[in-house]
Amino acid sequence: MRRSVQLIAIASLGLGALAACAPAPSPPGAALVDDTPRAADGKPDLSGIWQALGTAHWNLLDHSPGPATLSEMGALAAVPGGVGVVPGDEIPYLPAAAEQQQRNFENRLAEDPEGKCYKPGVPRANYLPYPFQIVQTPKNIFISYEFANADRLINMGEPTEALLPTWMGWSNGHWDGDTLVVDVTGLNGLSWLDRAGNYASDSAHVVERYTFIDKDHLRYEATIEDPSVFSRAWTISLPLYRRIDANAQLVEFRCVEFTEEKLYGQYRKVEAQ
Amino acid sequence: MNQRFARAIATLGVPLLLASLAVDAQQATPRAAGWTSPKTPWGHPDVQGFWPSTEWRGVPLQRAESLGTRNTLTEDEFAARERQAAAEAASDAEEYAAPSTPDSKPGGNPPDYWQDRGTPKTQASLIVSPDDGRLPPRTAEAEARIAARAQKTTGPADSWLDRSLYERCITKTPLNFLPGTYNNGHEILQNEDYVVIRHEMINQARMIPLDGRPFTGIRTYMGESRGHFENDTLVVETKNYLTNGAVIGDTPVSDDLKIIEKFTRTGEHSLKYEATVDDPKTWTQPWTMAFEITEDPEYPLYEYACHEGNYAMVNILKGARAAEAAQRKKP
Repeated sequence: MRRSVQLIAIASLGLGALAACAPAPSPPGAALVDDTPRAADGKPDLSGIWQALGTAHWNLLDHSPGPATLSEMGALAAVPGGVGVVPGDEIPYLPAAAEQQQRNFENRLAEDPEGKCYKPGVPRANYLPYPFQIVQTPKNIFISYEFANADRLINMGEPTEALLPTWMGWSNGHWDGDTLVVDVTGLNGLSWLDRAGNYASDSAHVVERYTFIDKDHLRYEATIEDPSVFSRAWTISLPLYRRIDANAQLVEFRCVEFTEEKLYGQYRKVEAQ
Repeated sequence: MNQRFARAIATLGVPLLLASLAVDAQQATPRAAGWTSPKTPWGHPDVQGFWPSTEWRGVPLQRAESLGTRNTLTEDEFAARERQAAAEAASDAEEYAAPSTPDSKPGGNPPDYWQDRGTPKTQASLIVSPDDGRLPPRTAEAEARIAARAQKTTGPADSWLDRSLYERCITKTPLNFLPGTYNNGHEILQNEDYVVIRHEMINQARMIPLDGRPFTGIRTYMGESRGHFENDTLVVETKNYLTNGAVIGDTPVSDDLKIIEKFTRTGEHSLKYEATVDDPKTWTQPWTMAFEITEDPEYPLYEYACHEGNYAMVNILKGARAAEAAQRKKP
């Protein structure tokens, strides 16, 4: 908001350079009044704390309510039903990959990387039930995720290639009008896409699109292409909500210590009988 | 792997600390004539960039007592430090590491890029205050904390809880810029409302608001940071650390720990870094380390998935269980 005011103030001073960066026409469904926050360069300013709502972290597809994987948790960790975030409600797995997804689902309590506090990868990081913070600088865009201290720097300069595979991949961004487009490669394929065992491999290529719906809502889309797992590219589409709470801040969720019993418990010393 | 490093550092490190005693950070760092501190488009001092503390790896935190209040090495002392660096480089290039004790076997040497060794410096110690470059005396409470730790009844690897927070990939130290064995990369990013300081080691980013908001009551391993500018200097105050055994050097710190960091550009590619550690339950007075960092645009930060790749923890615990089983089998 403050930047919008600044923009008007600067524009009224007659700094013509900004005119070249005038907002592109609003996407369909956008608010009639363009209240998109803007950076000094006229680009949309995505800075802020964002979070997905809904149940995409449980399952990207339509799903009925279900029990917790640990019965002791009762309703505390039961799965709420939810409408999926994949247009067409289908993930086009190749036959062998569909079987792998089923195995993942069956073994999710033991195998889901989220349960081990492993970095969530892209796109999963963006719809975990934890906030993340975008800091947009004149040069680059940085995203810090509350979960597992994951982060990524989106290179907005000349695209560069991933040197090696990583959990969070390698992000090159550019603007398509008022949409931030991020091309993600170099993912190590060890993270999953949700708690239902949906997954992609280390050959996945993810193209993300971030577009303001209004000043406090972003449309997030991620198109995933991975010929070793899917028969065609497919897309996730969901809104991201700005955390407007006064004094909202990320609170470090260093979850390692909550997983050590799970990961190492079997190796603890047990006194000889 | 961790343990072998620890051994290597233990054997190399102590004499190194004593023998190697770098720019006198106590003196105001001269600025180039005609140079003015860069500003962001919104008028804040611009301290962005890649600022690895790698080059300071060879300078000990504490000064040799023999140097007193002098924090600049003589030519002879500096030459000794250069010889030391050359010896380390030669040793790092060896295929096999020397035995750490007379009756132990030589081991495979890690590749020579593994350890950060730094650049020989004329600054004697990282600590610039107190004047003698030494850590102030510890409080009785801190000594009791250390004694309690020494009296623990569990073995070195009965469980993961017997290993350090660092080995568990939880946190290395609250004093992130203190140079360590490797991964000394740091990157600073800014917009109008936040400063981000990214630390390569254990892959963490501090999101530092500039709006003057108060501290909360939330404790975390990274602590809670608040930032503001004083003239051309970024000042970051951090407290609310979740200590749980967190250490600075080898001293476990208290919940009262507060760290004030100052970042000041001194040239187109240089930044003066200062950190004052104030923990009245641990040290009898605050102390400050300071050094000038050279920007290294060729040192981008890569993901450090410490926990995800922590095979060492499983191996340490499994190894200890195997050793116990072998012991039980002995007649």
